[in-house]
Amino acid sequence: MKKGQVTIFVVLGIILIALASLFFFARRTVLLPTTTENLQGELVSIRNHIEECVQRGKNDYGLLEIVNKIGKQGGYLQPAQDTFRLWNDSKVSYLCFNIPQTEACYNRLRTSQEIEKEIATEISNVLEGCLDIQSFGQLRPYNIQENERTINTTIRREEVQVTVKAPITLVASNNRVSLEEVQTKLEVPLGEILEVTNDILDAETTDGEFETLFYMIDKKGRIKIYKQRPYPDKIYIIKKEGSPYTFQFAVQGEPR
Amino acid sequence: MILLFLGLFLIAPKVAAYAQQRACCQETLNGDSCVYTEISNCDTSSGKFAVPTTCEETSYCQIGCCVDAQKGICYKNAPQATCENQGGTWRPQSECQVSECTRGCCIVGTESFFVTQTQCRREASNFPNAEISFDETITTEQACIDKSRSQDKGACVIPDGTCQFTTRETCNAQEQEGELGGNVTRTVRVGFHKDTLCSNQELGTECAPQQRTGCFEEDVYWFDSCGNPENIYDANKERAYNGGFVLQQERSCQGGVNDPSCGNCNYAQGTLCKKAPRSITPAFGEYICQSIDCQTTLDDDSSPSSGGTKKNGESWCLYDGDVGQGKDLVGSRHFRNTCINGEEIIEPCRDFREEICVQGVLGQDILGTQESFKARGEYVEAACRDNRWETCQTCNDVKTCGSECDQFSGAEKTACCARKCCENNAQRDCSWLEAGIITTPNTDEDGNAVIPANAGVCVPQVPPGLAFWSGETQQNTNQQSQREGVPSAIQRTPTTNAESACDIGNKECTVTFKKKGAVTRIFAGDDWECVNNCQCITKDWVVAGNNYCKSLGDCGAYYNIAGDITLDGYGNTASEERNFFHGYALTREDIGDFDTLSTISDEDYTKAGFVRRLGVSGAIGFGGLTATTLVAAFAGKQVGGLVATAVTGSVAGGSPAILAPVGGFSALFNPFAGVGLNPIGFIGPAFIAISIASIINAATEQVKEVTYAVQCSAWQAPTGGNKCELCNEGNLPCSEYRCKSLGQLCGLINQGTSEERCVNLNPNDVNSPIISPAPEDLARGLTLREVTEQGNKGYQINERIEPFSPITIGINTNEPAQCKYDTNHSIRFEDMMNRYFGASAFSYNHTTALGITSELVAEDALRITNGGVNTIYIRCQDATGNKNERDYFIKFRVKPGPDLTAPKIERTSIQNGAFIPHGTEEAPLSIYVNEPSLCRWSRADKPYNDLEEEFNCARSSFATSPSLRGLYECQTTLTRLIEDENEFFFKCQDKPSAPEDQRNTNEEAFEFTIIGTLSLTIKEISPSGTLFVNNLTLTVETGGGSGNGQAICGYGGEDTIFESMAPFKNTGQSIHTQTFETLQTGRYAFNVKCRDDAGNEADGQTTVNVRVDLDAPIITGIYLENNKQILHIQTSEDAICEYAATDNFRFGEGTPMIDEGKEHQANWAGEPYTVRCQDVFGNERTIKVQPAQ
Repeated sequence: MKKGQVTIFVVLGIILIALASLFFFARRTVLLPTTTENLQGELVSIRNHIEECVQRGKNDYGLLEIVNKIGKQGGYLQPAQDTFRLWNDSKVSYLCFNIPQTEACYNRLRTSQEIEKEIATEISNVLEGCLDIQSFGQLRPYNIQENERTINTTIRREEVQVTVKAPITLVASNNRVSLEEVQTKLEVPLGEILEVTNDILDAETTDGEFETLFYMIDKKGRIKIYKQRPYPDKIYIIKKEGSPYTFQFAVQGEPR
Repeated sequence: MILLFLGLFLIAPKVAAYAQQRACCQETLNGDSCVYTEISNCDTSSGKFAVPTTCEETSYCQIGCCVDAQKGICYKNAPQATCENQGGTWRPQSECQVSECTRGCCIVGTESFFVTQTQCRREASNFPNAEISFDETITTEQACIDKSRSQDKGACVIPDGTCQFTTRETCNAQEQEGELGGNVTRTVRVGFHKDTLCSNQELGTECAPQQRTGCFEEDVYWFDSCGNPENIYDANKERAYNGGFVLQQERSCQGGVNDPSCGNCNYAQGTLCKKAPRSITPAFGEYICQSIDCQTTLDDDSSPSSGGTKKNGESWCLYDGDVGQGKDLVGSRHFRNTCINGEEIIEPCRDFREEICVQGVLGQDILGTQESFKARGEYVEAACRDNRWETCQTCNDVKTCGSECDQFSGAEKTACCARKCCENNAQRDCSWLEAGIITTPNTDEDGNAVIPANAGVCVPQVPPGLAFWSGETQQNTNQQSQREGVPSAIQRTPTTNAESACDIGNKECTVTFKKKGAVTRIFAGDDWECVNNCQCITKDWVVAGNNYCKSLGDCGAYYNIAGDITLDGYGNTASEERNFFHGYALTREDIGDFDTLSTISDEDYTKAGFVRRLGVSGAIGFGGLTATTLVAAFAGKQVGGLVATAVTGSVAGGSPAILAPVGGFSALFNPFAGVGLNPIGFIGPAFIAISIASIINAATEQVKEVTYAVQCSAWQAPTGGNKCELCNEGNLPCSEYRCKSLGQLCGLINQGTSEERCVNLNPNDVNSPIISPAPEDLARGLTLREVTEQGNKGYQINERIEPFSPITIGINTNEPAQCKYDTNHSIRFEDMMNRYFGASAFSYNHTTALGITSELVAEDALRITNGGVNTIYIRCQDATGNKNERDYFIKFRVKPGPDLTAPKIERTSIQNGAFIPHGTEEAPLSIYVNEPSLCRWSRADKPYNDLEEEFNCARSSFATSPSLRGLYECQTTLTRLIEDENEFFFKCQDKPSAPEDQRNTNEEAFEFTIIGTLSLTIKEISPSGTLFVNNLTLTVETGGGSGNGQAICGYGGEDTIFESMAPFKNTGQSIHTQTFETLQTGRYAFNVKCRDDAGNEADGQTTVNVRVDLDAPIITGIYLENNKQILHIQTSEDAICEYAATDNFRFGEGTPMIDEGKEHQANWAGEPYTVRCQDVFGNERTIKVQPAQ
């Protein structure tokens, strides 16, 4: 083989390697084919990003931390002055306020709907600092259309579900794919525990006392209720067997 | 209407005035409703109310029933506003006795559920075509459920062959039969199949039977391969499979606890499905029926029912010592323990013994309160309930009752009635203290006995706890609470004033003493003799007084839970008596044996209490009187406060009625008495002698009344605070009450936190915490050694720590303390940033992990964890505020880490964002990098290798910049500069001599901008030409340049350079001014130069001729005109003239002439005038004009 032929092959080889490198580099950027499948793939990444933000937020403050805080603080994220008892490092909200000179108390009516709203608002704030949907469109051959985002939270017996309604459309030359909503679930028995809370409050508002033992036996010990008595209040701590989740609230008492 | 008025009255204008006023907010600023808080927290907009009273006193927050029509839920005792705010319908019946809230069986088609009528209607709305009924007669959920088939369980098979064992209700599959394709064709019976297992071969599903075991509800179940529960686990698989059909529990195997072959558990009998322990191997799987009893429970010596094995659901009481009959120790509390699913739960009763724990034994008669404290049995049940002690005192005033005391009369009947009242367990928790202390006068108005002196007194069975410590301490507690966000208005101690409560125990007793007559004293001695209420001078009375006192609550002399006794709460003036008798002072022995008091004992049971539980040695052992053993009679009356001993003396005499000689006296002076002798002749003189002696005796006899007082006040905690920390030990929660009982210096710190502790808060403690190392906190493999450097103590970690790893280090303090750290030494504790070493709470052990960004700012974390020797400095403060004045240090060495950091451009020779002079097309630039690097630049932000231009950089580590030590210079020339923003992007790559893949390259560019400018111009310069004034303002207006004419201008000579010019007084903007005054006549050339921020310069010049006149105007002509009536004067220059008839006037005081430049005229009266003319420079000429002679 002549020297000139070798040179040609070397040059050709270099060109081929360069082209291959260029292809691999540009494949994910400029040369991404705008097929529906590819766009769907991109949409999955966006979905994962939203899920990640709901679960972890920007600074490891996401759904789990919010729901845990709700549990520690008696159903409130930011208990207001005069509405909580500082106990064991937590601002434990009074869910029943003292009626002077009586055993009973009056129900503060912290409904699950209210808690759902508060979680949704907090998640919205978390997403505000975390979501960056437009970054997915950089150096990509498609546009991202975002519409107004709404957050819904649903508390169920065994889980808390957050639905981020964020209509997102990826628009390429010929194709467009859409993502309507992203659902994230957290397995905490908040709904069931809130039912227990209501039972406790029913007894407290009526009789001024709640018998924990009979109730726990009735539930076959699947629900554990711990009652503490920092004077003059009561603090109920509720747990469900098999779940590390804790919900605690206070019942306001009156010094005698 | 009244409310509206009041609401409006309080709104807006009064808010400020009520800044600290608390009110019931209809709505708070946070959106809460019906919250009693400071009025400033209330939302008073839109006519919302904020009435200064508690919420239940308002109309808008009154309590009722809230019906949530949306969800069909009824909430009892709900405030009206809160309910309505949340869209509920409010009803005044607080117990929700309204039809919407009555539960019944809601039947929708074949479904039924036990709900309220409202919920039923709501659910029914989802099924518009279904037949709906609501059956109020069904009062239990089970009965309702039984009405429905919907709860049928079975296999739910869907067309793809999968199956779920579920209820008919949740199965959506319609029954049909079909074939599944694939390699093996099988027939699938789609639909719901009641009582059939998913693995039943007839169904043709893919589920294989009995693949594993697991817990389902309370039993161990077999599960199929699809994860469905099958039948209860039985080692006999065939029996358990039941041919593929559901096997009812009662027909399943019957096993017991830990049976490895049968999973039929029974919760009621104390078994539940759980993972098998290692000691038991089930025949299949890993789950068995385990006992849920509590195998070992807290064995407390003072609680008869505690310890040993407890059955599931059992509950029992836990005490701190003996309970009842006034024996509860100060600081003690009752607890209820429960056993649930193998877990022992301690539930405290209300503190301050406001609740007591009572027990009963299953299957036995209900016990009396005192007996219940000692209950023991197979299955004990306990409860905390109210301590009903408040009405005990009222029983002491009861004088009549029903027929039960008819066998008595008078005082005995009254006492019987009082005791019956006292021991009425149905009404109160009191006990009858047979100590002879009575609370009412024991005689009526006529002096008749009402209650026998030894009748006893009604006292609380379990004395209530009192806030016996000083008010100041409570205030401090509240202040602490306030710091922690707890409103100060909330009281955390009982409202009962301890001193007032104990005052009830104050008693007095008047004792009569008599001294015999003088004659008798000669023979029988000179002593006083007690003749009335003599029981009050006995030891028993002193002891009884305290027994009554301490039974009222935490009063008098008694023990605390640690076995420390104090006597300070009790006083008795009889103890101090030295004249009439030697008073007895209460001693520790009189209170009782602490071993006995801290023990609940009955015939066959003896256990020790709180102190033994904590292992404190040295419990006091001595005998003494207890309340129940005292029988000494005591008559007294209640007094309001401390009573000083009152002595009232009297000398009796004169009255024959009281002259009866006492027996001894008679015997002495009647030697014949009893022997029957009466010799005649001797009787007369003897009788006379006796009579005289009697008269003398009667005349000299003395009687005195002395009132002694029992002084009952609040119990005093032992001095000091050595035992405070006992409160933190053991399994029972500490509380402020418990803590305060252990010592006068004890106090609760870290309230509301998990580090709440009872500690010694000695005000004389001036010692700061002593810090010592905590080697146990170091990671495995690390060791430390203590070192002292320059008088400061600390420790050094011997091993080198891996870079970028969090370093866990710890210290201990000799007392609860709060510690902070800093990377700089000698920082005072209060000046240290809030970098707490561990938690911010006061504790003994402090552990922190350095290198975590939440602990340190990122920069510090990196610095401290990447190579080198690092030191952190720690200071602590204790709960009384003593702070370390010297640093405690921790030194550690970190292995050098790999250089993963890209270079950093620290400085540039041209300031970033600077302006450059007009017309500049190229600019030399130096950048200074923190390590030897290669740098490139471009007009656009690109990857490093794509940047077109290169800097010329120093590559050697030693080639640092001479002007900026430690930095490395890279030079370039920026080209193609325009008259606008010139943006450049610089990136660098370190380690120039290393292979490229080992270099660290800037990912983000250093953005550098310089701004090209227009030329600077002087648009106008003034004045110019000739000025006939001796002052002027030189004004320059500039334009263009870097800031639209903004520049600095100066003036000087023609060849003066800008730097040497005198700057204008007003310059820096686009208009520049400089005033010159008192100029002389002459030609002035002003050379002006201006320079802007970019260095653009502009210059200009102006010339001004100043002509200054120093000569007075010359009178060039004087004449009369108009028949000599007008005087004309002509001057050589423009002037203003005045005249006057006298020459004694100054210019400005004369009569002005009519001036027209150089012509001036005035009326001429023919008299001499003095005329003064002044030119514009003030030069003045005076002439005198007079008629020609």
